[in-house]
Amino acid sequence: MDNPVWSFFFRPPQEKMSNIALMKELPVFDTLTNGELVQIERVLHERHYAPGEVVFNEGEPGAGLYIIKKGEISIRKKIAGGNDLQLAVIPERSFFGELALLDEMPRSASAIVVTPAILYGFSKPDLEHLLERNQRLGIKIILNLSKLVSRRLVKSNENLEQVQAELNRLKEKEAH
Amino acid sequence: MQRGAVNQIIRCGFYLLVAMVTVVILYSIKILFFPLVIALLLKFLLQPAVNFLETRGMRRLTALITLYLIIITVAGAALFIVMPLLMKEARNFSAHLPLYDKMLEGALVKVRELILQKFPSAAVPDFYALVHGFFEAKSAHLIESLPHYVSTAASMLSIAAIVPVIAFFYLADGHLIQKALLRLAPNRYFEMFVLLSDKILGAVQAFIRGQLIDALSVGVMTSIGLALIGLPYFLVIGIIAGLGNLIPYLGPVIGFIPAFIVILVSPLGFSALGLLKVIIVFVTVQFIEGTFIYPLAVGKSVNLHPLVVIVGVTIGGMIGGIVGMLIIIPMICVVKVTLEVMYSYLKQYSII
Repeated sequence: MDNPVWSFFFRPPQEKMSNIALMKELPVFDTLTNGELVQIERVLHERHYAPGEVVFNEGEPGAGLYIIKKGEISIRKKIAGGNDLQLAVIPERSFFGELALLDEMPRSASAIVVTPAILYGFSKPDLEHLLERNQRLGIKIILNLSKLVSRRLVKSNENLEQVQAELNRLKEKEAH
Repeated sequence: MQRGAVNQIIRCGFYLLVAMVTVVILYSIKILFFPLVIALLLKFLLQPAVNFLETRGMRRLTALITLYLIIITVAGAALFIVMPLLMKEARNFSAHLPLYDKMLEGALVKVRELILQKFPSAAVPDFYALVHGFFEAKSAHLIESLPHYVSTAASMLSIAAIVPVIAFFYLADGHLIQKALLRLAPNRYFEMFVLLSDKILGAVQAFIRGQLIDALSVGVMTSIGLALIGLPYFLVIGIIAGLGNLIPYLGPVIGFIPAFIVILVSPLGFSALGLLKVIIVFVTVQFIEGTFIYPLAVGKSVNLHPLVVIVGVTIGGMIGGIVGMLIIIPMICVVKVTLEVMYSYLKQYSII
């Protein structure tokens, strides 16, 4: 019987172990011990999605990050003219939406399910409760998130420099 | 109509049915409903202490058991100190009852004579006979309904026994209950439900905790103040003042009335100086509470208009008597906080 409440209380242990193995692969959780991962696994929200379903919409307040156990997620942004631009397709065994763990700011893009998906949500309130109860674990996650964000910032700066250089080159070309 | 829309309606209907069945079950088994709610209040109050012990490296279960042991010890010690005092006050009161009766008679006869002197033609009733008649009727009623009170006391005792047990499970596995409920949220609204439930629970928790701390400090301060000026029954009056403090604006008056009556029927006779001392105690307590404790413990987020308070207390009194009057204002505040949070989120999600 596929009853969500029933399966929540009675689930096979191998599912728990495979979730922990999945979390270990992700840079947000890769420095955590097995015991710490068990604590996180207990608070994850399992969600099942059909293709075309919206995980979150651009502009809505963000609640947290999602780990993709199964399926693919398309990240889309609205551009001028009301069209959607696909920024990326996030594959299985990776994650998205992690910035919402740091700040409840509006989502910068929408996430739409491409193939039938099983996602694990880790919400900002869950992280805050962890920080209240087990500061060591909370700080580890926040440190990992900061590393991710700083790496992305460096990458964005590099991209910006490239765009700036290209722009200057075009301007010079136009001047001649 | 599209298939999606039909599904949506069926789904909404299903959730509505589940909610209705839950409410009906909770309503019909009142005996469990009240312990569940009181245990939730206890959980809100104890949660920070459990979290604190957990941050010191204790496992949650160990932290919980430690906290319960501490509470049992402290409550036992408090009962050991407070109970004899309360018993002494009760014995004192019953021993002095004939004297109080005489004092009251003297005071009321004097008042009647004074009125008759000023307005000789007025038809002034015999106040003492009226009051006596009222209390006689009440005491007769009390004896008649004694079995009812005994059974009420028994059910209260069973509630008192079950509440800490339920609170224990709330504290140990509360987040799992919340998580199981969030499973029922449709995918589209999952994020909104996560944020909304967290914000509402957080706000309600902070408010209830603040109110309880506020009431406790007013009760303690009033008791100490009245004990210092030597007023009899200071402990009982302190408890009434603390509980009364749950009602804004009217709270101080509720605490003051019994103190005033005690001054009025004092064995040493009514004295203006005694009354002044009591007034000073109440004003000081209100000043400390209003300036330091309330802003820190409760904050300004739930300011209610005086009219709302008066209407609320009247309706609460009509529905549930004194208990209704006491709990209606916190309930209005909880509803207000919930609606405010819901409104701001539903706006952000462009639902309203």
